Amino acid sequence: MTGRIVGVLIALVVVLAFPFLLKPKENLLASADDTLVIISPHNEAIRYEFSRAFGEHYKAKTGRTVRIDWRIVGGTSEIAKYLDGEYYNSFMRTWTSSGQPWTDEVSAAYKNATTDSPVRQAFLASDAGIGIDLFFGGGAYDFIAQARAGTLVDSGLVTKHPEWFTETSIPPSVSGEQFYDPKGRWIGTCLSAFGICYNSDSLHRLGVEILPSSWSDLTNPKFSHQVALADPTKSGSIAKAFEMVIQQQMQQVVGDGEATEAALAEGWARGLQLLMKASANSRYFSDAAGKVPMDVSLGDAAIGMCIDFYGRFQSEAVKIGDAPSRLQYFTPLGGSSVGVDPIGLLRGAPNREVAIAFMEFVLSEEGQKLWNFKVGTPGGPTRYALRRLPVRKELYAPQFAAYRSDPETLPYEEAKSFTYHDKWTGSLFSALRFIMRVSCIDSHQEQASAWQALIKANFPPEATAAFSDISAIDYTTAANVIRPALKGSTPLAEVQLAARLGEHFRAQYRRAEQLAKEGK
Amino acid sequence: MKNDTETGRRGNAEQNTSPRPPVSASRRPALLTGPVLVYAFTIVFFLFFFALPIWETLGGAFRNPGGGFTLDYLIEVFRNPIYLEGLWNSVQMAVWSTLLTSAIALPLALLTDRYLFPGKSIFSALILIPMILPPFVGAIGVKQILGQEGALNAFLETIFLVDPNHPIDWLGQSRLFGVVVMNALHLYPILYLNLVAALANVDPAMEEAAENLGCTGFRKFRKITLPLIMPGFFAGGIIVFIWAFTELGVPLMFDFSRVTSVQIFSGIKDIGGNPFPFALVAVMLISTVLLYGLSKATLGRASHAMMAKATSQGGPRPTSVLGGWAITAFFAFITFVAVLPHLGVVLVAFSRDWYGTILPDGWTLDHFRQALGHDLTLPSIQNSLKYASLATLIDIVLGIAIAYVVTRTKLPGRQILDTLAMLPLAVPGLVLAFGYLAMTQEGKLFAFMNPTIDPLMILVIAYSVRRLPYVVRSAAAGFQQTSVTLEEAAQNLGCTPFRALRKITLPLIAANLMAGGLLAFSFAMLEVSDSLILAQKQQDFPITKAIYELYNLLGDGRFIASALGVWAMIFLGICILGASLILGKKLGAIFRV
Repeated sequence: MTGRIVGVLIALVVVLAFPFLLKPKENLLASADDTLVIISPHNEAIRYEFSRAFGEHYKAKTGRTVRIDWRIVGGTSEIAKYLDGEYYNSFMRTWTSSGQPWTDEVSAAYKNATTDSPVRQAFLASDAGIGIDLFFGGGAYDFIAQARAGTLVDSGLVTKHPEWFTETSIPPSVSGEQFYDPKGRWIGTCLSAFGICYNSDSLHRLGVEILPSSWSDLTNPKFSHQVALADPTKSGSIAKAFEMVIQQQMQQVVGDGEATEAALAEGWARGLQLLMKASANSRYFSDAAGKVPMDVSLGDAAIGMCIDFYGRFQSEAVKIGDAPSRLQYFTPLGGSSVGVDPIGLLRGAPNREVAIAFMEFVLSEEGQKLWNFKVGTPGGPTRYALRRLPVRKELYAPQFAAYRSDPETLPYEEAKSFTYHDKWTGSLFSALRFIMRVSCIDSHQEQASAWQALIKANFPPEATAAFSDISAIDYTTAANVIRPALKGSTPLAEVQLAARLGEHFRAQYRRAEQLAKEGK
Repeated sequence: MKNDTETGRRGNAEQNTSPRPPVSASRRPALLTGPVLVYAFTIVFFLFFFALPIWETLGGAFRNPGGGFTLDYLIEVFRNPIYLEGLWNSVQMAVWSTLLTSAIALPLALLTDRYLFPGKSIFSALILIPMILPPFVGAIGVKQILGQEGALNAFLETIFLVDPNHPIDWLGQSRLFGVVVMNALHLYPILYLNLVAALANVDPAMEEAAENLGCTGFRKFRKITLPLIMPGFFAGGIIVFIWAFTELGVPLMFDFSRVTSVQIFSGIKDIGGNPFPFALVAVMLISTVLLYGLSKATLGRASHAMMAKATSQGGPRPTSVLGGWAITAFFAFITFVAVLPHLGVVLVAFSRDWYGTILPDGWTLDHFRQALGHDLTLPSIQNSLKYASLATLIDIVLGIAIAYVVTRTKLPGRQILDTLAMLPLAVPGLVLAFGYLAMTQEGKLFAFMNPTIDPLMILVIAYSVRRLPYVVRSAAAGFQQTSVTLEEAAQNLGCTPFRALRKITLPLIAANLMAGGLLAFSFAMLEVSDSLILAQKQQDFPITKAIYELYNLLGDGRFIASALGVWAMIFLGICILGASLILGKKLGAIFRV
């Protein structure tokens, strides 16, 4: 018995010894003179490189050590919920500590940007904090929402460094997308776009001879059940990408002519039909950013929609020797705008000065080098190549090309082929998400099944028309019925509307399937 | 435990001061106060750490925009065809998973209990391995095997069963069927452990008596053995049932989105912020209570407590050589299929690349160096050990207490306690996790547990609440099978009720407790939702969150995360096998009395 106990203990000690023996020499979690608290969806590679580089920079500048306390609560949607909850509590304490009662009206008014009530003013004037200094990473969508709610405050950098905020460095907007908040509450730090990744082996196997080049390639019937899509209801940036697909169709219809209501409506219809077919081809709508390129690189899906740097990175990771990688990524020309991943100072930041120093570092040339420089290059990362694209144009200068991981990628050039028109679809942003949910996500099973019947029957006209009928969600209905319904509605009414429209589409797909089976 | 014992002693002391009342009367106060205390404590514990966090998150499902109470959302679930279909699919998933799990676990348990066969000790230990699949990387392993360019298709292509240009889309096309098979292969150990413990408690004299009276074969099994092991069958079966009913990861892996758990998950993550998914959670909770009540009424009622085992010729007996090897082959097959995802993870951890081939293209140890040498790894291992052991300790103390009250007392409302203890299985992890987060904010009652200051307390409580059902069920099964007369005899000989419990019954049901405790510990080590939401500072991360962070690294992430996952599997494997080595004469014997 003793022998056994000793044996088991030895085995446990050996297993536990490995992590001790391989323990890293430097400890980034050790305590320091100063602390900085950052909430972020960025991955460990980005966190590591910025912690290390900022630590060195700060030490050289101030002679003090700094420890970054990264708060990791999940993806951007979890962070948004977290900030909501924390600021609610924080302001409730501030409000009630001055002896005023916390009522439903107060809780509804403090973050409502459309009113100018005394409650709202009190919140904007307050220093109600949540013990966190910075919000770093995620899409501009979330930062705009936080800035509107009043949880982000001006860091003063836009006025302190006017030389950064020019057309030659960080332009105010590119292809219709804002790159920083004119009031300084958030500033873009690196760029991202949505595009398509595909597996060349799978394409070959499926008999797809012409390489994909645009969003409409996702609708190729050969890709039935082989498309991986991102979920527009789970993230603002993905919803934005869906909006771009529609805007591209609108642009094509409008051409050089005038953007008439009829032309926009036609573009909207084409865009939705494209998305419906892509959805009918899809295996899933994923909310995990890395899942799509991973699945495509493994051949679990043949083609998919993904964030540019994920696609590029995964392509490189599965490359063997000098042969071209089996995973290829491209941003459809004229089909995607370029957005930013911002940074912003949170209200009531406990370490305000260190936080501003960090923001300054991230936006400085020194910090910007970390985003796309190769490991071991001068000023580059030391452990992980981040493969992100810096926001500052200076970094795309020819002298840095040799150091960059992606010297051929010039996002500012790519962005020229697309202009986002806020007027066309901007106000329909929530409506579009809702429309995607009812016409594609909730009814996906019926949709995919109808699509397969259509493929089998070689797209008989009546069935095909039934499948792609979008009269219930056309441009006018979206603007005049769905948008107001969502805006002024109670959650219950919204769910009932979703159920009604969802049923409509399920019935429509069942009918299309039936017609296809009848060969009509 | 300590408190219980002290209460018992105090009770005893009070008895001694009284002028020698009749024995039976003297026992009453201790018997009553102990259970009442347990009852009250459990209710308070659940009120604060189960009901409150759920209310914090679910409140919105019952609040109309004006702030008043409403049942409209709840009613809407039953009017909405997609949600109804989701609920129906969930029920199907649960029923079929439980049936298939039984079809696997019951024969395995019977064979283990009755026969000796080659490699028995190894297989009865290996059978536990399917349970210790770390999250996130488990899906990597499954994909690597079942993907279109996965190992299974590569194998079938090699033997010309599948055309390389038309590989089978195992994950995309099997949906409900695939989910059920995967659930069964993941969950059968839970039922198996309970069945083996129950079979071991069966007095062979009962079966011998039946045989003497001419009842043999299947009839004996149906009439004698099955009713006798029913508590164990119920204990394991109900966990499997509820688990499968609320399972999220497996349907997600098969992209099967029309089940309630996935609908809730995707609703909670919706940026629109509609309170509706919480109404779905409420429906899932209520359904679980109803289903639990229903199955308890039909299956869980019959319990036949037995006296200690008589010495008999019972126990496992040798079979013919052929029969023995047939049993071994059966065990080997089930184990092999069940550990395929694990094999997938292990191979990924050692591979340079693995795509379209049966085995990886090249091998390396580098992923282990990177995983174990990462800044997050060592602290996360230390944290997880601390969180999981403390949580298991709480579970065992609370589990024994609750099971005792439920099975040994006639306290009115004890069934509520029993159901309460099972409910944590029915609540999606995210709902509780968000609730814990909300209730520990500054200004709230539990602000002192705020996870941004130190998540130890709230994580230990969260882990223990979520894993309590395993211990309660195992302990309850043990109590039900062990005759109360043994304790009564001890009490007649002057033992206090608590001493009798400690000295007589607890040693007899040690195997059940061990099984429940091990399950609680393993699952606490592998817990996801609370770990991801509540551990926010890197120095507080448990191992699952470290795996998640490594998994999210671009490029090599899946290899490095798999390597840390393999480390976790080895560690838990040694814990479980080690416990069985130390406690039993041979491997796997811990689940026998």
